[in-house]
Amino acid sequence: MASDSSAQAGQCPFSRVEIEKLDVLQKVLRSKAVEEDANVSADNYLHPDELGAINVKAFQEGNLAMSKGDAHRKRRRLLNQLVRPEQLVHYREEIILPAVQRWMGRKAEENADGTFSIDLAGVVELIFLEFAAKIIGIQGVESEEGMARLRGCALPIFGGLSAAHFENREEVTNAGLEARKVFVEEFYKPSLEFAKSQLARVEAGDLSEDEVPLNLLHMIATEAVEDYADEETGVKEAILFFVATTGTSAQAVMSTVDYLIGWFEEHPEDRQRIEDMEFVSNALQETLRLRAPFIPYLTRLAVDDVDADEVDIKAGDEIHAYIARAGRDSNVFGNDSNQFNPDRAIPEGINRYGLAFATGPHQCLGLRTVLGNDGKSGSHLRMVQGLFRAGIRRDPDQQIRTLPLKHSDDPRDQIPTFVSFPVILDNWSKVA
Amino acid sequence: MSRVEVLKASDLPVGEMTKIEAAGRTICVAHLEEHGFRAIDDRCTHEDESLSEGYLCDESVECPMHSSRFSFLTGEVTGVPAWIPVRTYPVEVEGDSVFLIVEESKEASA
Repeated sequence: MASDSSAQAGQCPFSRVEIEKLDVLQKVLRSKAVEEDANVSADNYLHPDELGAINVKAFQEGNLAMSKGDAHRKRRRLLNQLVRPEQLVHYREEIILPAVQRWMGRKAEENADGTFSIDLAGVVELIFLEFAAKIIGIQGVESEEGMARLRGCALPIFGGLSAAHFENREEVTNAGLEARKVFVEEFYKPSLEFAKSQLARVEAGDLSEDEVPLNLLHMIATEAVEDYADEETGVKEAILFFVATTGTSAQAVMSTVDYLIGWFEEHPEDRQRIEDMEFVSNALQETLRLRAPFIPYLTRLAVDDVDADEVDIKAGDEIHAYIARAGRDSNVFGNDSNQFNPDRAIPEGINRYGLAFATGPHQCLGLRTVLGNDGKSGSHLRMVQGLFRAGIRRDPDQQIRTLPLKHSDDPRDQIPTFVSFPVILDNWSKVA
Repeated sequence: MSRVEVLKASDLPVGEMTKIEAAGRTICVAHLEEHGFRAIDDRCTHEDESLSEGYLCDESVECPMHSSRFSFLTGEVTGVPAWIPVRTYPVEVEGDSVFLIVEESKEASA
C-alpha cells in the first residue's frame, strides 16, 4: 500500500492512502472511522475540479451509498426489504429467468448449422435492465422500443457514475448527463407518478396491497424515509439501483462465462460440473474475487484516525480501496492468486469472493440476489448454468470489445468492462 | 456461570423476539412456536447490528441490515453473508420466569 501526498506542501494537509492488502482493507472498510463520501468517490476531494463537481451533484450525492450514520442505517433497513428471501425467489422465478428466455429468443440469430449466434453483452444487459426496471418500478419498458430507449441510457449512466475511472472523463461525463436527462424525463418521473397513482388507488380501496408490487419508487412515493422528500435524492437513488442492478450484474455474468470457457478448455473433464450449483457459485465468486467491482478501487473518507496496523490513516485522508488487488492477495489466496480456480481452498474467515461486495455497513445490497440466501441458488448462478447448458462458446469470427480504462501501471487494475461479447450457442433452441 | 432471570414468559408471545442485558452481555431472546424460548448473542457476527431488531424466520433470525441469518437452535449461520456463528445460551423456564445460564462477561457482546 502507499500513502501519496497529492497536494502541495502547506496547502492541503490530507493525503491519499492506497490499500491493497486484504486483511488491512477488511479492517478499514469495517471501521466506524471510515465513511463514503461523494467528493471522494468522484475524485473531487483532493483535486476539486468542474468535472468532479458535476459528477458529485448529478450522480453521487445523497444516494444510499453516500449516506452516513443513522440516515444510512434507516435507509438500508428500508431498502433491505427489497432483497428479503421471498423477494429473491420472486425476482429469480418471475422476472429474471423468464427474461432470459424472452430476450435470448428475440436476439439470438440462427446459423446454417443449427447453432445460434448472440452478443452476450447485449442480451445480458437487457435481462438485467428488465430486472432493474422492475425492482425500481420503472414503467414503459414492456415494448422493445421502450426497452431500447432505457438501454441507451444504461452504459452512459454507468460511465457517469464511475467517470473517475475512465479515460476521456469529460466525454464519459457528458454522455452520462445526457442519458440522465432521458432517464429522468422519460422513465423516472412518469413512473413515479404511476407509483403515486397506484398507492392512491390502494388508499381508495380500488386495489389491494397485494396487487401492488414492492419496489423502490413506492418507497420514494411514500417518502418512507425523510430523505426521499427531496426529489434529487430519489432520482439518484434510482440511478444507483439502475447501475448496481445492471452494470455489475451483466459484467459478473460475462466475466464468469469468460473464465469458465477458459477453464473448461483446460479441464474438459469438469464440463459436467456445471450441474453442481456449488461449483457454479464457486466459479462466480472466484470471478468476483478477481474482477469485481469492475472498477479498480472503491473510495472512502477517514473521518477519524484509523487504527489499521501498518497503514497510517489520519482523519481527512482519502482512501482508495483496491478491491480486486486485495482479492488477489497472495498472502491470503496463495501464489496462484492471479489465476482463476473455482476449486481454490479458501482460508477460514475469508469470503471466496474476497471483498467484491465490499464489507462493513455499505456492503452490497445485491449480494443475496447474486448468490441466493444459501449461497448457491441465486439468479446469476442459474443464468450462468443455463448458458453453459445451452452450449455457450466464444464466436471465433468476432472480437470481444471492452471499454478503455484509465491507465495504471498495475495489470491487476485492468479489469475488462465488456461492451460486446459475441458467442455461439451449440445446444439451444428458441421456445415457441 | 450464573442463572439469571431475564423476563416473564407472558411478556414475550410466540413469534416475537426481544433484546435483554444479562451478566454484561446483550442477548436476543425469542419465543419460537415449536421450540419455546431460545437465546443467542444479539450482535450479528457479520457487522455490528442488533439481531433482535431483525426478522424472526421460523427458527432463525434475520439481521435487518444485511440479511444474515442465524439459527436460534444452534447459533449456526443459515443465510449469507455472515459466516461466523453466534453464541447460544441455555434457557430454563419455571412458571412464568425465563432464565438464561450465562457466564459473566467483562464487556457487552453487542
